[in-house]
Amino acid sequence: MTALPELSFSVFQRLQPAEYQKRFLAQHVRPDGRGLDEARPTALTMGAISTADGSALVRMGGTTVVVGIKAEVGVPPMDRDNVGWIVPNLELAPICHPSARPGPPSTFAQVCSHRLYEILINENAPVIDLKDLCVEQGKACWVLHIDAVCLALDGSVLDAALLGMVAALKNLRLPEVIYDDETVTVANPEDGQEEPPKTALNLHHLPLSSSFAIIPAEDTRTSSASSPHMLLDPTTDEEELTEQRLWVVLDAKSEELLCIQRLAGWVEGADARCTGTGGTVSMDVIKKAISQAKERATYLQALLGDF
Amino acid sequence: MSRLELISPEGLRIDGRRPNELRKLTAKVNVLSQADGSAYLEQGNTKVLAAVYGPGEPRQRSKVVHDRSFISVEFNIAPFSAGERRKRTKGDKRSLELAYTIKETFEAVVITTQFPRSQINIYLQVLQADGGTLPACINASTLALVNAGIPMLDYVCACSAGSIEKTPILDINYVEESSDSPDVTVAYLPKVGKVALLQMEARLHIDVFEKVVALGTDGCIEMRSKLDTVIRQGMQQLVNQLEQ
Repeated sequence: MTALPELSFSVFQRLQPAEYQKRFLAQHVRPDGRGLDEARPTALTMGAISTADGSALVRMGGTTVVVGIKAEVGVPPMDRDNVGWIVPNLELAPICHPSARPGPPSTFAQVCSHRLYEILINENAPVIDLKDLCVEQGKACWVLHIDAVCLALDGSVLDAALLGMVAALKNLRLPEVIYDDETVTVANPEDGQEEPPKTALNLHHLPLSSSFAIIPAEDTRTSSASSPHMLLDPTTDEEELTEQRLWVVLDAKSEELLCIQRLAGWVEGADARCTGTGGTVSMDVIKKAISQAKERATYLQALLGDF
Repeated sequence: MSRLELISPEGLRIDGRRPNELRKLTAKVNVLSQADGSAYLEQGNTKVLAAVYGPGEPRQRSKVVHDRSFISVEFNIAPFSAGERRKRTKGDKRSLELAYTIKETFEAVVITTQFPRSQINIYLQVLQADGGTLPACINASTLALVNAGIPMLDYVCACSAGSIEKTPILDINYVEESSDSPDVTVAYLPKVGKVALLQMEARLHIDVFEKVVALGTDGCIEMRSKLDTVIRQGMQQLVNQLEQ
């Protein structure tokens, strides 16, 4: 009988991804060298896209999202005639990950877009006041198309998209509009003239988020459940390991909790694994997550600069 | 209303270039960690990202070709990439046509018989469009394919050329593209000396056409040395990383 060839660690990683991760976690370290409560390096660039009215580029480790805002003049909604619209959208094009398929947006992308929308116009803590988008009551208002394009996906895409959207809103400059009996003209710079002044929007609240993957710790020797591992800012590999994930959104201005969600698994092809109940998350875990999210929000706020 | 002056009396174009001058090209390979090959390319204000996945198992059984690999191209343009927001970014006829053109171009150049029964995916994302989207996409795809280590006959170098008031101009920008002057896109294999793609959708006198194509081809040859530098730089970076 021939001996099995010695397994290299990359082969082991491919064949037994869960076991591979667990051995790292047992040592309280992650495969990329981070501690459990450590986020990946985050970089933010504002105004990278000159064709957009406001834009931002976010890099969180291997996850890259570009956000561009296009402002158009539209008609206010029927029931509230003094507000404008925002239309956030997250695009997970096949360029970003081998598992993303071409075609119409996946359920996950649509769910993300909706979550982001609810955060941005949260009733108690909206980022922008929709009334600021009104041009002429009942006649004209701004429609902000906030498009986030994910270029590379390696976990925690909601965090990157939300940071990008907030940064792009900060970067947004709206041109001056002249409303004149049913017609709206957007002021355009004419040849040789100075560009008409553009106005920035007031950002009232600053929602910033953190994602966590919660992996139950199994102590094989005592066979008793100890407190689970909490991984801040998980990568795709880490997200795929567990169905238990938390998304915590805090308002960096008032330090209030805006949203906390237990996310179900989403990675396509892993549906079978994700339909289970996935266990429960204890209150201790949630408390710990909130305190870590606070620290992270302070760090992210510093990237956004002064307000 | 006076017509926009595309070429000044001094013979300079609207963005200050000479008629036979390319726009500034900056590019980088190995920009995406998930893809097998990737490239980011800026040609003037046109910004394109290309990713290559594969060769791998085909996603649809029906598409398998028994003796070679087939290439699929997905072209996606960001809604904020142009002056007006694009309503439908995917599936419109124009982008389908563009994707198909790129696919046809590369199927002739990539040595597909090396990978029977497999699929090569090229994904293109336009972040900012300022004219010459097709040539920029072809150049970015070339870089990404080379970065993925997929064998090709030669670099496919693409360049657009046009003619304004009978002056042939190279590498046209958005303003020149949207004026009613004709434009030609040439994709050329400089080492082999063959044309991989020639596209024109306007009326142009045959004598002028020859001049325009000749200028476009010259642009492609210049483009090759630029793309080659980018690939070599990317390689050097990898070597440096290995040495560390």
